[in-house]
Amino acid sequence: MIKSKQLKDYEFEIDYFNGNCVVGYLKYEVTFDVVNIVDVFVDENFRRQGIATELFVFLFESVNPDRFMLEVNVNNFKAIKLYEKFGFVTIHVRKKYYKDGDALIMELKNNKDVYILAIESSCDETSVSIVKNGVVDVSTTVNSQIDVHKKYGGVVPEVASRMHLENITFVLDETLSKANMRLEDMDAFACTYAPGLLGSLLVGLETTKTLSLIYNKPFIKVNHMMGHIYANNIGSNMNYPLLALIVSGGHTDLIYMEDETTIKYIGQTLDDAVGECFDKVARIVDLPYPGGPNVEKLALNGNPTYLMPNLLSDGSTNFSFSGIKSHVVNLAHNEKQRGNEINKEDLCRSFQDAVTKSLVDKTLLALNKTGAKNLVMAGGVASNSFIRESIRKMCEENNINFSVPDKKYCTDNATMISAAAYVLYKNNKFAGLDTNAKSHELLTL
Amino acid sequence: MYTLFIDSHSSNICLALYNGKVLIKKEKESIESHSIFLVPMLKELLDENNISFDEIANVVAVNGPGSFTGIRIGLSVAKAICYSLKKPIYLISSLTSLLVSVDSDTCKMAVIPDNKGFYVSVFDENNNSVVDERYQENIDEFLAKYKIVDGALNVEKVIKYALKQEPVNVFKVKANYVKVIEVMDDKK
Repeated sequence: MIKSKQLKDYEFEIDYFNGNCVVGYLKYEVTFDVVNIVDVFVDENFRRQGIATELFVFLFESVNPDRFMLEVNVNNFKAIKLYEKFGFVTIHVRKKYYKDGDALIMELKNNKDVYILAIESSCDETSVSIVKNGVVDVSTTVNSQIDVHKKYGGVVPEVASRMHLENITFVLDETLSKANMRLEDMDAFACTYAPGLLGSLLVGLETTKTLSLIYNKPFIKVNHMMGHIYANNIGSNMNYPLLALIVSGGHTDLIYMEDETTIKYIGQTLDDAVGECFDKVARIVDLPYPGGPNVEKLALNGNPTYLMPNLLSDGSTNFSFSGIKSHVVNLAHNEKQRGNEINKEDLCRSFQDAVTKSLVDKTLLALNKTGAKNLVMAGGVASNSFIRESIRKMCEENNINFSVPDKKYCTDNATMISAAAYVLYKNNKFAGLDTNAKSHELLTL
Repeated sequence: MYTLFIDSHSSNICLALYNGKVLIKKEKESIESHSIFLVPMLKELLDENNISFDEIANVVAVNGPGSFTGIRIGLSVAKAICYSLKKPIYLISSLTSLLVSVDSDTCKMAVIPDNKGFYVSVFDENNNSVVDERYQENIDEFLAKYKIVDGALNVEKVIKYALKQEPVNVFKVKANYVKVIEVMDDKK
């Protein structure tokens, strides 16, 4: 007979009984998603009867971690053979750990699916998503506050924070019911903790930390921009080394990634972000919030008739958009003073052309500098079709492998946060329950 | 079974567990750092007393007025617990919590100041409202009439009072901001 008992919070023992007598046992510890096998013992008189195998089979049936780990004396051939039969592989050797020899650290990866629930609340979208293995979008809900903030012509931080608190439970519940999953089915909980509006971030952050505490699953903090990049992983995996062009309301960055865990800034905007600039131009021509998509719509029917300044062409891979913003403001103002009507379509088109040219030129420069053959585009502005297609064309002409997420994954969403969290999960990068939100932070992993 | 009490409306975070007899309390001064302290405090409170989430019957949360961000941190935690464990949530105003902490033979007034004015509420000796919760820049008219409570929280009394009210649907939990912020003021 085999029976399992709990020794401590995290320590368990499986006993093999012969009558009332324990003749073999297996002790193990559970830490998050690793089961550490501490001790395996079978009484001398009961060996060669398959008792150890039965203990292991019982273990595999009672727990379902990411991986099993154990440590064994290199001279214990019989045990090693048994472990290898189960699929354990040696991942490390501890020299002279035992008096009579080295210790082998063996690992058995359990190829189970990893489900991560992520929350995004950095600006004016409350979003919750469940992603499987970092690539499959199982279920995503995005609650946008656009209609509310339209009234004010932009996002009002205090209003956004208030709405996140009111919406979060609905969005969480809808995501779970669409996926037909329970919170206890999750392998980890993740959220955006930076950068963004503090009051907004905190609603998602506190909710996530609490879920992590209740279900005793790892908590993963994700940088929002990292999420934007990993939106490119949804559906298919990215190729490295790569250059990432992040274009959003808060960022215009060129980042080089040698592999999934190394990040190097190649260029940044020196002043305004490209998305912010779109929104400002929209305000100048009286388009409602959010300005970016509305500028794009008008530009569709316009011609580039207005002269625009040359954007930062200093040979660097940095951007600058404040100049063109001032230029559009002055242009509109001057025309108004003269009593001339501005052609809004043409103005939007001229502006969009100039900005796109800068993005294309600088990205090409960065590709040449880094030698990267893969380009991924990300961020809210990546949903602008004209910019997407211009970058795509440049990549085709230069033999660059180009990837840009579906438009719904370009704007803020929790799917990308969960996709990024999976990378951190694989690398055991977990965060503490004392994690605070940050309004600004450079991308790190 | 325990009631979990969460109050984060001021610079003093207060968490407590109460089973009808014993009150276990954990408090901490926190200047704009509630996010760093609150969830770890909750973990400590449970761990140190060997109590699991299964033993929590309901949650009483103070929903303001006070620090907007502070309130949201406490309520986010309270909502997550009550939603996931399907437990009832009871809300209590921070002003009411100060008032019911004190027994008085006469009317009593709770005042929470902020940078521009005062949140104020007045109860009579039987805890019936005399002056409804409000935010005013000047409260001299009330100061002349009513005695201010000392501002100390009697958590046991607060929990008992809150549990006598109706629980709130966890989806409809809202902060009690009292103050109308300028952009949301339709009158302006």
